[in-house]
Amino acid sequence: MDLTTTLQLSAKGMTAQSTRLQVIAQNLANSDTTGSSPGADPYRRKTVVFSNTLDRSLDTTSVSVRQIVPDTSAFPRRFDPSNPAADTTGYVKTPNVNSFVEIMDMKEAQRSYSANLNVMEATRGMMNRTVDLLR
Amino acid sequence: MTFASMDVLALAERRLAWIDQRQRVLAQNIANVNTPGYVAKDVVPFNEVLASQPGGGTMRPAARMVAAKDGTSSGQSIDGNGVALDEQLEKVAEADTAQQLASNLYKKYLGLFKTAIGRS
Repeated sequence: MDLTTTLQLSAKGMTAQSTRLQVIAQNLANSDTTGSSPGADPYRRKTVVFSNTLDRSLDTTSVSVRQIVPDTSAFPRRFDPSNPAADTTGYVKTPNVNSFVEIMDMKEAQRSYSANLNVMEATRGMMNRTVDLLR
Repeated sequence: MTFASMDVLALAERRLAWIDQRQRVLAQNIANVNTPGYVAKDVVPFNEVLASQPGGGTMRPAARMVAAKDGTSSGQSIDGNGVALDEQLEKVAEADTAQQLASNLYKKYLGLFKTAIGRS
């Protein structure tokens, strides 16, 4: 039945968005994780890349997480000589995580997730009505 | 009852098959709302499908894919994604209503046959 494929496509979209939310949560949780030795690199922000690839089990293309890539932007530096991760000049490298950016990203993921959920509900209604034809 | 009423059932069936396919394309568009470089797709309108294969078999694939005309008009985002979420959800609602109409029509016609053979 074709409508089950539609349901699975929406489910794939939801899985992709929840992976994205997972990465955002990781970024936010590590927004203060500095290195452990003097001059060491702190936590590096990660981002998710989606792609539309052929799914052989569904015989159509569907969305999936292609890879989780590190954000290569520079680390901000903060003067904190007492920190164990401070280098000889007293500066500490802090993670390149901006909580405002993460929260915006989170909102977008949330919105996309509920859009997929809406499609799922509509499709389920269609399936119910099709089954009702037999009554 | 004339034979023409059978045509209504066949037509409703084709309409349902078309809606089915459209819903799948829309679900794909919405699942790819954050995929870089993805452009929204849509199926060929039902009237064009009917015009191109007037007496077509009921289970014939209803449509081929075309790039959505209005999806690109609202502009692409910075990553080249051309899916406008509000437009897509509107189309989903439209497909939902159309499916409701077609399946009700189908049911009513079957009901007429049931009445004719004395099973209400």
